Amino acid sequence: MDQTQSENLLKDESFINYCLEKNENDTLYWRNWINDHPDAQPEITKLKIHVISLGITAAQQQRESQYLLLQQSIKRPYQNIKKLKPYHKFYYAAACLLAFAIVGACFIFANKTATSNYSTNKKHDVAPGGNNAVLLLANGEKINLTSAKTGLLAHQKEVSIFKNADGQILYKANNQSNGVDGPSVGTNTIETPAKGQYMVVLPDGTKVWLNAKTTLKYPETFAKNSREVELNGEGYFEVAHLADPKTGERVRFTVKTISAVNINSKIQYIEVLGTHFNVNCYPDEPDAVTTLLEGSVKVTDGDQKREALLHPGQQLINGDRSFNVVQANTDAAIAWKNGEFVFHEDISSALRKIARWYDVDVVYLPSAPQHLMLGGFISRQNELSEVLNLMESTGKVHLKLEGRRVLVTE
Amino acid sequence: MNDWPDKISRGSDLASDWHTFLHQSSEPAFKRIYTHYYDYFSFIGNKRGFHAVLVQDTVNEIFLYIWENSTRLMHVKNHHNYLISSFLHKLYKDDSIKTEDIAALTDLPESLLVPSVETVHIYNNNNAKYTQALLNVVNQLPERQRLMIYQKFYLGLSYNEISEANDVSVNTVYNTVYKAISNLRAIIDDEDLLLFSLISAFLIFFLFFFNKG
Repeated sequence: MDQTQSENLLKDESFINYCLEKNENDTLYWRNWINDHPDAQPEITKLKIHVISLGITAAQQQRESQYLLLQQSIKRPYQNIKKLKPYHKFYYAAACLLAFAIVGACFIFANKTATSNYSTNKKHDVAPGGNNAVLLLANGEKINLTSAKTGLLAHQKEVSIFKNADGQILYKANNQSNGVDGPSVGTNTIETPAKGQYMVVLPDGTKVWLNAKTTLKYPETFAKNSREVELNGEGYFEVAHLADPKTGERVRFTVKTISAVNINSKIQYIEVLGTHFNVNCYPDEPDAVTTLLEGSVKVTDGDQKREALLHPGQQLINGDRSFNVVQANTDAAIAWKNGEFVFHEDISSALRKIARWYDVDVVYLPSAPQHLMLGGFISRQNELSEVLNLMESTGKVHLKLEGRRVLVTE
Repeated sequence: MNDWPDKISRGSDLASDWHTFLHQSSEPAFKRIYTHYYDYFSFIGNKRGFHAVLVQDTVNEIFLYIWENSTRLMHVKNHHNYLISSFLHKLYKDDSIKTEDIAALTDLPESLLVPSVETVHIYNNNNAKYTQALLNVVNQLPERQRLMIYQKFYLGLSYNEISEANDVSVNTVYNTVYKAISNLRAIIDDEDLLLFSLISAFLIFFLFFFNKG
């Protein structure tokens, strides 16, 4: 193992998690890795000692210095603290105002220079996506949900489908039958195109938000003892609690995702009881990512070899060789649902999101930066040029819009 | 400086310290409680996306209050729940935090908060020169950088969480963490002190594997 490799390990989140044993999956992964690479073991051990010792020493120092501050405030006469408070507030207010003024000034200034520099992108801009989806019924009928009128959309055997004033679609059972015993009759499919998103309420009351280029398949009526849907793309689920009227047990809700990244087409099953979570399993993403916000879910991979139980705030990354549970940035994970882009990632990952929402192709020229971490957020309602300007403001990348193509250069 | 306890304490183990502090105003007991909950609250606060400075200030406000009002807290039997809920109420500034939320946080898995037995063992087996070199490295770090090292290598927070808590870019966190480690390596390699700690680490490693086998 050479110097650069070991240096890279020190930045690797999963390696640090292994050193601290904070995460079972990472610990297991690295133990196996060491077994496979016995000659790297001395270096790994050395790094591990550094990480652990540095952490413990820093913790001791950190606590000592904070405790010292506490002792100082304990010894300070009580009246002084009282007197100081209003001033503190004043200073806070003044500091806030100043900060706002500076940020505001920066914004105005940055916007000015940005538009003058990159006005080429503004000429033929690309508008953002919107609510747009197609519903495919079991009988093959296609309904464009955007142009369809409010009211009854279709009348099926067990259920009727309505579109409400907000543009959402709702399922209502026809004759009080709450699900069927046998397997369901037909499958409904909702498909969002590039530049599309949609929110649907399934027959059981579960709400699903679909991001662009996403397909959701679900039965016309759910079976009584299990609910199963199939997702390809990205969706945010708010699963409704449902109990079996006979046994009183909660009815499971399973999301099956298929992502064609690997040759052996990655399949995973997400089993939930009643909870809020986001699934990202686009075919062009390297990992299928499940992020849990509330409740609990169990994710199993296609060949049932690995499974993980997630707690709120955790994320499962199911990739080529990894199956890791990490702490998630939940705001970033569901930003799309709230109409925002939150970038906390590599530029190529950010550009894939943009490609789907603005329906553009991204072309990397040879001089394009390989790894550029981006951080920032912007509304998805902006024109494409605004988003590209934000990314260019890092000063490390140039993005040129040519028709439906975004050219990436240094 | 090897004053790290061999046995890892948990919040509930501090019940006797809480009692001693309330009845005898014992400062060592107070400090032990502080030390434990400093980590606990830093972890919770930073996980929840609060700014690191705000979290620190809140911790100290809580403990200042406890110090000054110890006589009024005689009725508090479950110090753990009391401390956590008062911390959260202060942090959220109002009652928007739900009781079940507090309940979920009062029994946070121990493994997330304290170093494992194995890691403490490794630390305690470092030789004195290595420990001194470590202290020098940590002392040389600016306060903000030390905070990030603490958050990454002790609390085990993710890069994203640290960047949010400190208002810096993820790249800055990467670089800080990496710089601290390479400083440490430079010092160690210079003095060639590593040999000793390596030997002790190997012993631990093999012990571990033999135990498994």
